[in-house]
Amino acid sequence: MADILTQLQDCLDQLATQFYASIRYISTHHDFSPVGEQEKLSSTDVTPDPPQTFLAAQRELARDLIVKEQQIEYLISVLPGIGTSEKEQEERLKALERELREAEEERQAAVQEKEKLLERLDEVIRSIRRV
Amino acid sequence: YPSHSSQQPQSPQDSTTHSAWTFDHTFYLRKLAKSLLLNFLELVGTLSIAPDQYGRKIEDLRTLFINSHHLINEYRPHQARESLITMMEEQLESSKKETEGVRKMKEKVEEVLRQLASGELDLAD
Repeated sequence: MADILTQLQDCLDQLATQFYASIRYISTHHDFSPVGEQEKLSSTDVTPDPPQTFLAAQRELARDLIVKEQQIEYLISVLPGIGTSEKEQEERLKALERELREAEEERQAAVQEKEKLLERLDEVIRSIRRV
Repeated sequence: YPSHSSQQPQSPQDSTTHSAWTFDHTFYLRKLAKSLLLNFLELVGTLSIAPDQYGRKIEDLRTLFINSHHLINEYRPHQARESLITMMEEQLESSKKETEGVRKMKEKVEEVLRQLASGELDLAD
């Protein structure tokens, strides 16, 4: 998964897209209201939706905006390293480096011992076969 | 319309010794996220009442987006160190597990050798 900050930036971009999409929907699917007894106008690039769907769509667009904003706030709350200072991080890194080196040495030692043992095992097996 | 939107968050002083700036960052990011929504609402309001004013509102939104991205990028080094720490912890974990595994296997081999030496091992098993 991408790191939190990249996810946050993607969410921001998506929010911008949703802003645009919402306005675009409204400006292309709104209905016309007659002035006085005049006939309702119409225009080619507007395809009015029936009021029900138009209202439902508006509500859905609004809800999506809120959901996206909540996602953003959640991501902000789970940012890595909140409350740890750079110094603490550096100390942690140094400690980890030491531990890693020690663990590596232990691993090497264990592997060598294992090799020695395997050789002894081979000898023993060979001696059994000769008997 | 309350137009506090284009305020520039004072960049948090990122001295390395204390962590308050991380809280500042999250506080400002949250504030920016909220004002983004608020400004969109204002934009829609402007479009419905005084559409010719849209330019100023779009500008506010643009500033908010820029500030948010700026704050996020300022946080990147901190996150990089944090993920480095996690990676090293994982490495340490797997190396310890491996040593453990080798040691267990070693004990088993020693056990077999001891049994062979003492001849109890029944070769057929």
